Amino acid sequence: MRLIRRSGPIERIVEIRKLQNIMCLAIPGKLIEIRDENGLRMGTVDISGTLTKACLEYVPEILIGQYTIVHAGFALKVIDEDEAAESLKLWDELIRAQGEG
Amino acid sequence: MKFIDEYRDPQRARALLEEIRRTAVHEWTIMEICGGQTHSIMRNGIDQLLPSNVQLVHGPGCPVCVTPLEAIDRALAIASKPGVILTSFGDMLRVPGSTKDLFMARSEGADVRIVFSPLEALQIARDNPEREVVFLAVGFETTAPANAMAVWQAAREGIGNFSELVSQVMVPPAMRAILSSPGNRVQGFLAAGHVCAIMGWEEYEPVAAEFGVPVVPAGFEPVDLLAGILTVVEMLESGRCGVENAYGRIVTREGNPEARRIMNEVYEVADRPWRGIGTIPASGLVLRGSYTRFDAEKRFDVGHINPKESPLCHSGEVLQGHIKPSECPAFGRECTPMTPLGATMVSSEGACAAYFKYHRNTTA
Repeated sequence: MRLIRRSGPIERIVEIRKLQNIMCLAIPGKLIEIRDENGLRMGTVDISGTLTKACLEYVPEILIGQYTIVHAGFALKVIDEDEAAESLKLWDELIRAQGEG
Repeated sequence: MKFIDEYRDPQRARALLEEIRRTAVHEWTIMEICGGQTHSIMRNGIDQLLPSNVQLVHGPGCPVCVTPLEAIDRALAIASKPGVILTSFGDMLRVPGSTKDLFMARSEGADVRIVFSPLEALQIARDNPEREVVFLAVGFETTAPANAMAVWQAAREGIGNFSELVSQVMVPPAMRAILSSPGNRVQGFLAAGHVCAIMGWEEYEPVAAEFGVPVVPAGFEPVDLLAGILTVVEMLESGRCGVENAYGRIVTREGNPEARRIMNEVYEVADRPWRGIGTIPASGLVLRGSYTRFDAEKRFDVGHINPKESPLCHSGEVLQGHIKPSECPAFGRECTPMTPLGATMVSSEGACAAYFKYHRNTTA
C-alpha cells in the first residue's frame, strides 16, 4: 500500500470555483513551473498560494517568476511590472497632491 | 496578494474618487460593457460613491446573458441524447431555457459536467473514447482563444469524439449597436480590460472616432475601475474622443497576436443573435469551414428548436442600458436569483443578479 505520494512537483489542481466562476475575470498569479502536456506548453501558476494549471501557448515569452493573468485555464498576458509601477506612482502622487491641497 | 491588493487600496480609491468629484463639472452617462466590471462596481459600491452627476449604465457584456435561448435549448436537447457528455463553464448551468436549465437536465439523468477550461473538456473526450463529448463554447473575445485551442488541439490529435456548440460574441459590434440605437444616452465607455488584453484597442479607434466618444480599457479591481472612470470623465470634460488606456499593466494596443492567430484559424466572424437584443451583424464567431466537423450543431440532429421567452422578462432592455434592473416590474417579485426569468438574473455577471445581491432595490 502506498503511503507516500509520488515525488516531483506537488501539484494541486484546485477547485478555483470561487476565483473563476465569473466568465471574464482573469486572476493574476506567478508562474512557478513549465512543462509539456499533449504537445502544449503548460504551466503551474501560483495564485496567492493556490496552485492552478494554465496553458502557456499564448504567452510564449513568459519566464518562471513572471506574473500572468489566468482565464479558462489559459495564461492570457504577461503582466507588465514597469507599467504597474508607473500607475501606482501616479496615483500615489495624486494622494500627495490632495494632501497638500 | 500581488497585483490584487494594490488595486483594492482604500486610500488610492478615495484619492481617485476625490479627483473624479473635482473633475466632473457636467452630467455624464458612462457605460461599462463587461459584466465582471458591473459586479465589481456593485460589490465595491462604486456606483453609490460616484458623484451624482456621473451615472453608470451597465452594458451587455455578460456572454452568459446574451447566449440565445435557442442555443440553451439546443444544448439541452444534445445533453439528453444517450452517450453524450455535455461540458460547460459553471455559469451556464442555471440559465433558463424554454422549459428548464442544464442543472435540471442533470438531475433528470443527463451527463452534464462543469469544466473550468475547454482543455478539461478535451481531456474528458480522451478519457471516454466511446462517448461523444460536447463543449458549450460561450464567451467574449477573452474566452475565444481558449475555446479555439481546444478545437485546434482536437484536430491535431484526431480526437473525433469532441465537438463544440459555439456561441461566441464580440464587443465592438455591440458598442456600435448601443451607440446607434435611438434614445442612446451613453457618452463614454469603459472597455473590458481582458477582452482588450486579447484584441488590443485598435478596433475601438474607428468606433470612438465615428461616434465621437471616449473609450477607456479598464481593469476590474476598484482602483482600476475608478482610474478608468476618471480617465473617461477627464476626456468628456475636455471634449476628447478616442481610446486612452487605463489598464497599462495588461492592455497594449496590439493585444495578443498569438491568441488571435489561433482564434482566426479556427473561427470566423458571422452575424449573431443576442438574447434580449436581437441579431447584431458580424458580432459572433462560428467554426471555419476546415473545422466544421467539430460543430456540435451539425453533428447532432435535434429537430426543430422552438424557443419561448418569458413574457415578463425585460433582460433585453437591461442589457442595452435602457432600464436599470430595479426598474423591471418583475425584479425581486417573480424574478429572483432563486427563480430567474432571464439570464441577467442568473449569471454571476448579470446586471440583475448584481442589483439583487448588492441590494440596489430602489429605482433611485
